[in-house]
Amino acid sequence: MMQMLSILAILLAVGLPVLDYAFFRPRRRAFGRDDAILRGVERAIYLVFVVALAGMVVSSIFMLAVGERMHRWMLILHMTLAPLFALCVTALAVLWQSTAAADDDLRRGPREPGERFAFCTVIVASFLTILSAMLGMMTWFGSDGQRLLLNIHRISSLVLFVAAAFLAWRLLSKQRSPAS
Amino acid sequence: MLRKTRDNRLVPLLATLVVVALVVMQVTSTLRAAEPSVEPSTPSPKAPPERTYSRSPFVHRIPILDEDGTVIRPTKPGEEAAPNASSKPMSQANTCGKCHSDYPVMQQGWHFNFAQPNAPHGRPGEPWILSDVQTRTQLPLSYRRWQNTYHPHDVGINDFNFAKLFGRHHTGGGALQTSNDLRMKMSGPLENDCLICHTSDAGRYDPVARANAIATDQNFKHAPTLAAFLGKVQGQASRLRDNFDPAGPDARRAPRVTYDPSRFDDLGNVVFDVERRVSNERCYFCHTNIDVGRAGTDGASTQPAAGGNAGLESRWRHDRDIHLVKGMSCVDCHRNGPDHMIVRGYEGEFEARAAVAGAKPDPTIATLSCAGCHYGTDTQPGGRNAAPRPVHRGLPTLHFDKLTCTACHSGPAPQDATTLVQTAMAHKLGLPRHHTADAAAPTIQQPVFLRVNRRGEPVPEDGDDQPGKIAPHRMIVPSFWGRMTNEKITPIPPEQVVAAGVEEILGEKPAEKDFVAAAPLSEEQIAKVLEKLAAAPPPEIRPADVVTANNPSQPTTAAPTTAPATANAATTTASTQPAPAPDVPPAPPAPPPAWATGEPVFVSGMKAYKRGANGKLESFFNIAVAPYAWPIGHDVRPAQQSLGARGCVECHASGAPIFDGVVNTASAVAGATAKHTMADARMESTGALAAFAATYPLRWLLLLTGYACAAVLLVVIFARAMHLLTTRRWAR
Repeated sequence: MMQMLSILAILLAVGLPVLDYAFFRPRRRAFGRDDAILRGVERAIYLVFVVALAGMVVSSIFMLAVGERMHRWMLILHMTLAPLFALCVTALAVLWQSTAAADDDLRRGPREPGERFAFCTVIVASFLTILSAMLGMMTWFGSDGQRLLLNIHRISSLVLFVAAAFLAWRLLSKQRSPAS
Repeated sequence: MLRKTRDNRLVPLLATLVVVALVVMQVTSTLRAAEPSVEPSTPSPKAPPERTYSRSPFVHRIPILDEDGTVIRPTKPGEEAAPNASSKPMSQANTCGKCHSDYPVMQQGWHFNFAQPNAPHGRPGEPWILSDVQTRTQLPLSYRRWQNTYHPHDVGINDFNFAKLFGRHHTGGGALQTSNDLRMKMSGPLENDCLICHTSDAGRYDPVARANAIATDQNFKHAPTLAAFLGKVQGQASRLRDNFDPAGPDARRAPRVTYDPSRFDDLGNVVFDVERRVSNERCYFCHTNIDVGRAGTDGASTQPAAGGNAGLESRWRHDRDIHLVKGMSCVDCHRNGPDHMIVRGYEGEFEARAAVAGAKPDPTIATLSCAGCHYGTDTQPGGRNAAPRPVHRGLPTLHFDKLTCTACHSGPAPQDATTLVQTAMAHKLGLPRHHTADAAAPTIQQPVFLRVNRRGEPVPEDGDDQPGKIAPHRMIVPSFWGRMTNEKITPIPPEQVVAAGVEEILGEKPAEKDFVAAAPLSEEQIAKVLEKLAAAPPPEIRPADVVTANNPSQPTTAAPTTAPATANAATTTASTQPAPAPDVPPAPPAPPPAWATGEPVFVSGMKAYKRGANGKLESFFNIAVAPYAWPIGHDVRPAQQSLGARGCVECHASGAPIFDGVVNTASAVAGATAKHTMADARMESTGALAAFAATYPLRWLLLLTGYACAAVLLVVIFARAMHLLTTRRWAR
């Protein structure tokens, strides 16, 4: 089951940017503030976020997809990158919130609906992924609760992976808006 | 036109033939029914076993029968002794089998089917251990041919000698009942002893008397009678010569029973207090295990003091299995039907039984394993006997894929090294002794954490086979003298080693009732013994020790009619060995047994030793040095005393017993005992585990970061949601 879902997630992660490239690229506008595609700090955070997420995906989703388990060194890699990922996604969320609020105040909508939805998905899925992992480490939940938390962690991380892959594609391929 | 005419003529003809045939058949059947049957009478199938099917026990006030099926009636006080008064022992096959006519079905049970090659032998269990302190022999034996055990026949132990050695803690039956070994003619068969398990009156059954009758007197068939206090036995089968003829003039020397009239009522019946549900104490006679720890030492050594018995004496501190503490009994889980295939209770047992051709095991046995009972299976509900559903708070479910339930819950709490354990089967617990040292041979260690599959076979962690789980085991490292031919080492029976004249080198045999540790041997001693063995003449095998093939279909009282043809024929496949007719040329002598030919070697401490070119001892590796391990099921510790109850670092830390606990090779060679970690024993690398364990001190930081990030994310999500709601942008 998880192997099938992992393969599906990988296919979606690859497929959505391809679809985007094929159908929506001509109508795309710049992301972020008008004066920059991404600011320097934001860009650095994005970069670390993407690298951390990629490492975590390789150690977990890819392992499940090829029929292996996430254990030993892969588990250590996963857990080593986890705090980095959590910090990055939190920082991005804060930046996004401030940016979005400013945009709203100015009645501007620099983001396209797809990007907006993908980013919202990344934030919500990250929250669920992080919280389910943290709760699983506590002694509050028995086996049934642990299984539920594990399933939440797995499903939300698959969703996170697909959404983040789509968003990364949009950011990497972004061009300056003609208006700016 | 022509065809049509023919058809018209054929139809009435065929109809007539059919009618005639039907009439003939009816008449014939009517005549048959009217006539008395003239067919030869065939024996009607035996009546079904008698059962009351009540939960109230049936009072067994029954006549007792001897091996001929004759009712035994003792001479009462004041009565004149009847000339035909029975002096034969009770036969439980006849006495119990009279009503429980499914006696042959019982032979399929675990306690009796050990020699049946087609029987399901399940995952490895406790072997019989041939232990001899003088020759430093400790050899796991099993008729079931579990990996790394030796079949008794392969090492020159025939069924008779096996019964003599181990019948003390064996229910009898199986090959011990049907064997054709020469001495079985004198001892009689060692039948299923129903009472050794099913008696409910401990004061009316003495297993020690039975053990003595078997081991010392060789009165196999008399042993249950003696143990059940039915009478006295005069005479010893051990004193009868090999050419004893029960029908000859020496017959009067055969053991005889003088029954105790007070055990019989006026009608000649005897009351047996028996019960279907066997009491725990009956199980314990053969299945007692006592952890002797490392008492008598400073705690640094992995071996107890050689002569001390403080560990044994500390048994009062040990808790019982939690299930027994809660009021359960062994048979609540280890149940059986008429076939006596007692549920062993391990995961995979159902598959193992189902794998046997034609077998249709009851699927509910899957709910009698730990997980099956406490959780249920995919198809069966759990909670039998009100088993609580475990919560396992804070334990990631990943552990259930990597550990058996017993890994955390069974056996003694693991320490930094294995401890020694003594078992009833190996150390004759339950029998009187003058002295027992904690380190008494054989050396069995526990708990050894090995990774095994559902069949109980060791597997690597990432093997392609069924995924393995770590489970606690007891382990014995074999130690024996052997002979090697084409890299195959076969153990030499201890008495044959002694027969080579090595007594001066190895020292004297300890007294029968002294259970002592085996002193280590120097390399010089080993070299000398190997030299003696190499120079020893071909062994002379007594007829009594000849291995004969077992024939389960043979009647219980079957015995060879004559002694074996040649003394040197150690192994023969003939079920009986009649004297050759004068005009028939004698059969060629059987080849000598494997243990009698080849280069002498010594195996101990997971090494093999042979004489080198310069006369010095050389060690080498051979598959025969591999230890034998069997899983630990009991005693089950309660949740609070399970491994991990005090936190993850009970395992995920440097020095954790499950990974870094020490297993030693228990070598009989001085200074050769090596120490390995549990991870080494599983042949697993510990780099990743050590790195993972090293992260635990920083786990609080991970948790802090995680919760802080989650909190911020929640605030962001909440703020965004509120913003959307208040600005109603979502509606646009």
